[in-house]
Amino acid sequence: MSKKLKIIVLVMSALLAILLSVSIGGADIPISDIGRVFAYRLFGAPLPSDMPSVTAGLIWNIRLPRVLLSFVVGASLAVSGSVMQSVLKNPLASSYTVGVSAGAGLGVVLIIVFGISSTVLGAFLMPLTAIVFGMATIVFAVLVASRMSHALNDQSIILVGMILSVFVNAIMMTFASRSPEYAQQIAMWQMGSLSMRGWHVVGIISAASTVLILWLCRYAKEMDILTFGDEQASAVGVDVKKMKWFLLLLSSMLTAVSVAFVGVIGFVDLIAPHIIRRFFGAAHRYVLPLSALFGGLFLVLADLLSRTLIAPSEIPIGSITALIGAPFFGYLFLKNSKRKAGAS
Amino acid sequence: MKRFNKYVSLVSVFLLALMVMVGCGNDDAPTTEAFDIEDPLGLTVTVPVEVEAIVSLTPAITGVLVDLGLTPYIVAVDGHSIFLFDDLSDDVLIVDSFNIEIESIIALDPDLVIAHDMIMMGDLENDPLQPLRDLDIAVAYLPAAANIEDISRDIHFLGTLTRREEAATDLEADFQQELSDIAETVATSDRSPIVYFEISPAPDMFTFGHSTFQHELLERAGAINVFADQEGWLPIGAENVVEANPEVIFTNASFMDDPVGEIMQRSGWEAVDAISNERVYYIDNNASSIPNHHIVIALRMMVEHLHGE
Repeated sequence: MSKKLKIIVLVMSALLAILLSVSIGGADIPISDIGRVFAYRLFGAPLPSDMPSVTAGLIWNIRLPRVLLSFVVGASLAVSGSVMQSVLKNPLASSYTVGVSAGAGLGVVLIIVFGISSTVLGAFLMPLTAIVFGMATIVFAVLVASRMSHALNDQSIILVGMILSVFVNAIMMTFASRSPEYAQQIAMWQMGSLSMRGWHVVGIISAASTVLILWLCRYAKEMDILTFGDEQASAVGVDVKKMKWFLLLLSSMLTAVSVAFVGVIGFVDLIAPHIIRRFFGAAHRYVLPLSALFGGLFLVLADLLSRTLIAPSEIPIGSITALIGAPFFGYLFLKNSKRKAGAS
Repeated sequence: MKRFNKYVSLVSVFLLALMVMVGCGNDDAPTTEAFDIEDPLGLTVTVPVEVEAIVSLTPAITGVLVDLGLTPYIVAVDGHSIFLFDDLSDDVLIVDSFNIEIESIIALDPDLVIAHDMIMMGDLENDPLQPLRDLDIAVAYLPAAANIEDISRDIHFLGTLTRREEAATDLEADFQQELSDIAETVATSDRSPIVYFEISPAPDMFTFGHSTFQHELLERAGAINVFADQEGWLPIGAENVVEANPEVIFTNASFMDDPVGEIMQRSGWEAVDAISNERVYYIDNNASSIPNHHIVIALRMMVEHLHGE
């Protein structure tokens, strides 16, 4: 299959996943009604009188924003993951595994615990603290890990990330048990949730993510060069250190924006770039945008499962991605250490 | 020598008799003695002669004890009870029920400790209050009431446990009277609205199905629980609530300034009958979440909103 054809297949599957997700949900609504709601909202076609009055609101203001939100969040996390894997030259790296997601989550939880999450000030501060905490986490993780091993391409950064995640989660649990009024909100942030976010959140995340993803895509060539090795990169005139930090911070920001609004959702950022590299090679001008597509597709389907598997109840989205992602992580980890063992 | 011995034994018998007589005469005849009772879990509780220092580790139990007139004897309670009962002494010890500091309870030298079996986390072998039993402190466990019958059972059990049988009988009779008054009011109404009861707010909403005491409350209030086919407490998808289109929404979400306003403003919910007819109501959180006789407060609120005056 040519690359062009593969890209078309991927784009079509993403569109199909979105369509499927809009048509299936916890509520049982015939596809013809969904079509009519779209016709009504987009072209002002009248709604049939036999349609239940709640259907239009349900499709347009509950289900559709949720599906779009899961696509954008999945795309953001996936791009963030592929940048981290390239820059750290570590196939196990991702916002989730190096602790950025948990760190950003802690920023959000602080805002919750201070009781200003529902104020206007809180609405501004929440993404801001998430970004600051997410960036602080990556800086801390990289600095500590580079003391353990200079190259960062071994397991040390993952180890530091895991320790950071456990530590940060312990802080969150402490907050939760000290202030039971926020315990449920905190638990929600730890597992992630795409429920009831509404159009304004979709708007904010889409705008921020689009800017950040496009910005990162501009550095596709630099990322290619970085993967050849620091010396080669310096030789062609890339300020390696500066470029690495810039890319790491930007990708942390991308994760943090998502975490600020939907909580910590793991493993999308780890899986997507691997699948894409397998089918499209390692060139970043493909990996970045196509990871975004695949990450979006993956999270849309994961959310579909979370809404429908035990309807009318819901499974936290983080559980679904972990159920798929954790075995995948284990597989990569084993493969990686085997390769290392074989090389030495 | 022999005579002396006889003399001594005679005197000692006399002294002994005297002691017994004096002993009986000085004190009021002891009307109470220690007794054994089985708690609802089937564990034996040996209630001591005097119960003057009681520890209650759950608000449902504290509520009954207070209404049995035992407030002055309560020496320690859980962190929630302390907010609910103003008359508790200022130096009552506050215990975290899920992380019990056993030593601080022992330091109070309590006669009786009562808790929900929840604190055992479903593991009877793993009794966090075992150190108290080892010190011969009476420990009683109650499962949280799952229905109205259990609430009556708890009142009687706690009455027997604290030797307040009479007060318990009265309390339970009042409770039954309230329930039948409410039943009468409900019977006069020909409406039984479909209700969604939210116990945890958006974005991750929780409600309940059958086999919960709240479900029984809805039924007794003459309503139909929109998720009656589900069991227990469950997270619920927004789509499913909207699709079910309840006529009335109740919320008991606490720690929120305006839970009713939040529901009224939910995007995509506008066409739900309860929203468009502005039939969203707050039900007292404590009365609708703590399973004891105070549930009649919640019940009365529901009946008023559902059937009006």
